[in-house]
Amino acid sequence: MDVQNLTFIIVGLSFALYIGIAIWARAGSTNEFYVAGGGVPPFANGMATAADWMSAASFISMAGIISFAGYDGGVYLMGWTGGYVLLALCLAPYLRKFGKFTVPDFIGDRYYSQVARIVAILCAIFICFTYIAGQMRGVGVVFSRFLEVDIETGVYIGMVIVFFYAVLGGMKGITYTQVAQYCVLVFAYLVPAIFISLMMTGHFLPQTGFGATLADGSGMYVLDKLDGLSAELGFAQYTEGSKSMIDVFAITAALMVGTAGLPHVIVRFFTVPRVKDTRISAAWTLVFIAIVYTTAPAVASFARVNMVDTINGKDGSGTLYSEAPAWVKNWERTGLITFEDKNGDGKMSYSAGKVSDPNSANEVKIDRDIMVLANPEIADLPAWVIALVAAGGIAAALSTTAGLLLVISTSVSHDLLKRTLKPDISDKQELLAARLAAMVAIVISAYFGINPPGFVASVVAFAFGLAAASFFPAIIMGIFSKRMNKEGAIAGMVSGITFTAAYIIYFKFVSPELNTPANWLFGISPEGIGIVGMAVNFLIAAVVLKLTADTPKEVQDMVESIRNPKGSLAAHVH
Amino acid sequence: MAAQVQDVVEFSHKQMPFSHLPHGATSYFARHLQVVYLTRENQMQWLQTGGVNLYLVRSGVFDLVSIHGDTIARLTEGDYFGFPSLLTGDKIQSHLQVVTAGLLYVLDQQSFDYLRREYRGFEQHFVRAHANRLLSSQYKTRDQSWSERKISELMSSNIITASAQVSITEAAMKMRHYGVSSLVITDENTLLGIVTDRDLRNRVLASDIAPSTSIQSVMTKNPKSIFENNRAFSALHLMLKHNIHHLPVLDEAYKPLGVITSTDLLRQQKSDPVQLIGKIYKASSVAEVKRYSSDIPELLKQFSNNIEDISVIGKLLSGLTDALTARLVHLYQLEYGQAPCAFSWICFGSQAREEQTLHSDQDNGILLDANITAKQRVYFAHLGATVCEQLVECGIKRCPGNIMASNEACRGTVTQWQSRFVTWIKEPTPKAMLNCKIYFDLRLIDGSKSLYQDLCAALDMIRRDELFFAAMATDINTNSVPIGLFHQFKLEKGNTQHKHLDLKRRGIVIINDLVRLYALNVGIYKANTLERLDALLKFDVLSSNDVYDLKDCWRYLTQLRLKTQIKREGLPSNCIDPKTLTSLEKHQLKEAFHLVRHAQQASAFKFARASL
Amino acid sequence: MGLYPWLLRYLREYKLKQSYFDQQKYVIIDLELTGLIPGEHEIVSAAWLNMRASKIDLCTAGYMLNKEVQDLSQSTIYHGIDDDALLEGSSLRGLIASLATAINGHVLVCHNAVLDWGFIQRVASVYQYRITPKAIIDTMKIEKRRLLAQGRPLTQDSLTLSACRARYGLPEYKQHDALCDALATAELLLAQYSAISMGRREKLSIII
Repeated sequence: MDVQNLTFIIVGLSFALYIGIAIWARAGSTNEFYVAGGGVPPFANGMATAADWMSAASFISMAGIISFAGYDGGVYLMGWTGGYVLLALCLAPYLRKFGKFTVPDFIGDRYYSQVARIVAILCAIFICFTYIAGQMRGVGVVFSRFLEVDIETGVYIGMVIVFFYAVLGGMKGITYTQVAQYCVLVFAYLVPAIFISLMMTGHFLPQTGFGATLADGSGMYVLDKLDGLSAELGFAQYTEGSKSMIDVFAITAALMVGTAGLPHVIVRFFTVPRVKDTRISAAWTLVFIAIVYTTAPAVASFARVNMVDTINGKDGSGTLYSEAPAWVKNWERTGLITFEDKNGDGKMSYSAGKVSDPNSANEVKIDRDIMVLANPEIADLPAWVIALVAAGGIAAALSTTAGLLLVISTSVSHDLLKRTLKPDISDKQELLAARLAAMVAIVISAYFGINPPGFVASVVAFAFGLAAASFFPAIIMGIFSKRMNKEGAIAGMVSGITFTAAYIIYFKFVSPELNTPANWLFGISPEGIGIVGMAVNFLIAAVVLKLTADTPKEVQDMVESIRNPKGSLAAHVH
Repeated sequence: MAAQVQDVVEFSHKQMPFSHLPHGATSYFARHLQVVYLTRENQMQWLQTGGVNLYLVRSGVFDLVSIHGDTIARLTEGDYFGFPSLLTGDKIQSHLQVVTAGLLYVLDQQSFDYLRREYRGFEQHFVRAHANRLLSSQYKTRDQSWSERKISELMSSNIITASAQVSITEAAMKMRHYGVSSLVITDENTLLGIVTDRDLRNRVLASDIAPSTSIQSVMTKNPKSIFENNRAFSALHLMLKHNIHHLPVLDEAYKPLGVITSTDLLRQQKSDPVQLIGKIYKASSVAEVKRYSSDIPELLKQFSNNIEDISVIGKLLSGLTDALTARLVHLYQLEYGQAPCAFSWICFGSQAREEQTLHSDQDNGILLDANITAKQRVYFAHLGATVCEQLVECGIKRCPGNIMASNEACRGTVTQWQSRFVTWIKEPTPKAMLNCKIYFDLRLIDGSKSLYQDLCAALDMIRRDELFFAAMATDINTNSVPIGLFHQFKLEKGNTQHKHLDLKRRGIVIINDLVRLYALNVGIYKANTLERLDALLKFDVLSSNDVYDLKDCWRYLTQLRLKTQIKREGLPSNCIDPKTLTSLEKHQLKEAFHLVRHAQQASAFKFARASL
Repeated sequence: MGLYPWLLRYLREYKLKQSYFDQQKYVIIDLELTGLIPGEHEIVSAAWLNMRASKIDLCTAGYMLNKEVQDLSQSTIYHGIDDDALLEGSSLRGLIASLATAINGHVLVCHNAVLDWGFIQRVASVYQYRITPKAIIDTMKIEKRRLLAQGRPLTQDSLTLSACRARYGLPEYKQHDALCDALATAELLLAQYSAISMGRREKLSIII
């Protein structure tokens, strides 16, 4: 059976699984007096959270970035993992004690201000938009390859499917669907990685294969070979970064702080009834995330070696285009690989530099986002593995997108419309508004998916940067500084997000030609500027706090109490 | 050959006709019968399936009720039934109403016929019993209506008379002395006239006549009267026709025997629940309370036939339970001394919501003073245990979840209750959610009002937790309305052959839950669903259209449910078979369910940010 | 690895618990014993009854005396079995064979199943009979659970058969031979089931 049919079958089966679970969960009624009392076990909840956490960016693009950028790509790995830890340890427990379901509500209550709440809502909507845009591109890549259409059509198809899944299917919020998605995702990620690791290094675990010698008899280490190849082709050394230390630090920190404020993941911590279970499930989530994240560098290196080997040939003299492997042709159709025979020898040659640059010897342009998806094809793995990866990519995108769309639609229809602008709308109108908001969100993000301002992962990185500059300081100050008042918080958020957005827009859209380390502020790239935005936020907030009145006493007491280990009871009971 | 159970043999041999038959008959009977345990809920199963049988009551109490709803006989240990059908081959006409669940011995047709063939005495007994049953049931139906009863059975028996010469003052003093509202004026044994309270007001005080005047000047001369053998109906007719409230009753010799009043006649109608509640509140002993409580099922049946808006029944039953509880608490204090400190008796769940049915069980608790000592607690432990037990004896079932004042956990100070609520709110497990659904519907029944208000205030402070509301909304959404993907009814199959719709669990309960969620969210401390909805109109959480929609749905579903509960056909309670509905009704029902689903989704959306 | 048989047993138990109470066939058993310790004491007599669809069938009643019984010290006083009656009894092997046919394929019900089932298993192993009830229901355990759930105190006598029956308003039996007790246990089970299920049709899992 060919790859396309298998993909249809496997993706279809995975959808059938999600829908089946959703129906089962709906139908499972509880006998009124004999409720077991447990709910979802922490183990399962950990998987579900991991599915929420790992988006198309983690699944599709992270390995791609590492594969192309080598050591530099590692910032995403570190930043995202750190962000999760920060969220699980420093934010979620306090927000839970505070008894607020969303970050805007926390901010609104903590800063006793409708304005602060609305600013926070707008920030949340904006961040979610950016994040969804990244997801849409990922879904588009998957569909374009396996339905053999161009990337644009792929995004359109993905748009429709995501809309039906998230808005009409009502499957979000069912933990076991998410668990299934995680399982599909992790299976799809590990199977090809294990196969390739076995083939290339003889190691079963990709994590150990990554640091082992090649099995081709050369006795060379994988990473040595990569360094060699990179040098040969004019790239920077694979294991050595090209970014400055401060930039790496800034990007990692921005990613970390930014992810910690992501609204759709925080909610997951609140849906577990017992506080103790929340901690256990957070630990499980970390384990489940680690399974994928530790595999990513291995996948990246193997893919890189294989790719260069197949395009340039074992001897480095290039493969004849007419004899190019099937995957090159397949991906060419999506427009994500292009080949221009500049020297007219009929052979492909891949090296550093742009294809459009006549001085460069590079004839092949490869989109980073295809690395994970194309990996099994490059390694000549069986067709079902390729199909499986497609299902995994879709699973990763769906779980995250559905969560984000919900945040957008509830924010627009409930927080903005019902609670602020027009309190007398009926339930029906509210739900309609929510669906419309979701639809608009999908359309806008599809536009960005087709015309991306960067690669999937960097689009997402911007979202994180913005979150880092806005939400995070407000939350942190809200919890840990009882004196912080609303004026300070609002001024901080507005200045933080304005600064960061302006910086990014300037370097990425207005004058992309100036986007070099020399022009950067403190040598920090737009990806890492969120951390500076955060500092700006803190600073402005502190200044404004000095100039304005103190926080009311009862709010101070409340803040005191959520840091009190006894829980919030003390605050509420006299 | 099967072994025989000695006790069954002994019991059977004591009953007619076996006591007059050879031992072999008893032994045959004992070896061929089956034993079943008959309860209110499973009776349909035994009496309508499996053909005709002879039933012998081994324990329990059952009322045999004809198809018209009249009680033919009360069956207790040693009574038979089912034999008319065995003898005539007709279908079973009557059915059973279980008063107390118990054991029945069941003998099938084949074994019955064998005994009939072999033992003449056996046959004779049942033929005779059948004839008696026919006679008595006909007599009963003739006597059914109270209006057909004789005046002599209804009138107040001892007559208070006075001669025509007494002064108005004397007459009034006599009336006061005997506590009557009318005085019959006689000359020897002849009726001369009648004086009533109203006469004293209208003809004496208002006309400024001296109290020393003789009574004959103000009495109604030659009043309308009635004979003791007349029927109550005639008396009512006379009273209505002449707009009078008192009728002297005469014997055939025209000698006055007594007076019948309109109140006497009304008392016969018995279907005045307000009266029963009043009686309960005045009951002077536990036994009396229990006696009144045994009237409740009968009263409910009569009442439900007479009224238009059936949803009043829930309120009525809750009112009765309130009365029973308050009275029992009071009687306890009379017997064991006043409570040593302030307390309030509170109720939860359906009683608090005033949606009780005959099947509802107890949900109650005690709220105690903050400074209570361990010794004082003992008093309340005993109070709780006693009253709960007495309520069970009054027919209000024990709570399977043990939410009863007899349970240690359900007696506590405001702080103790509050910390119970806090644990549910802070860790909203499914079990905690279930508790919230019951406990957050609470109402004061008896005792200190300020304690109860303290509790409400305490709850108001802890319920401001959005996570709790999110969990509650999620929980509500795990239940679903029985409408399928293609707009069809999704039927359930329970313990009967019929597929059915569960109106309560899949409709009314969801609305109750939703309304509770909204009410708690804005801090409305009422328990009744409709009252909560009315109060919600003042808030923004639900638009007024949504409130009206929910109200209509709730009323519609409740009405439909109670209607079917009264004429149910082997369906579990609260359920209906949509096939029995007209197409308009089906349409309405679907509409109602759709509205409920909408409200449900909206709640998940608003509170839990869950699916759209 | 006993995983496969374990899974099989788990599945079978699960299916059983998911079946409705009135779908199962039950056999109610009562033994008269000379003491409480299997191996040391003996079975004097055994009685059984079948129940199907919540109906106790008295035509299925079985009763057997063990004529090999040695020590009648306790039983004679209590249950009126004398040596003459014993002569009409059957051998212990016959008794256990009858029990095996009665029990296999049924759900076994006893009041204090630990005791009766202990004896049955012991004797069955001696004569190498395989007795495999589909499940074992213990009316005493059910009662204990109910009492605990209702927060009522448990005393020594609150779990005897007659005390349990009294709680459900079931009549008092004068006889205490094995067959009467078996019937009494069966009736108790029906009363317990109807109290726990509150009249609804419920699955076996609510009482197991």
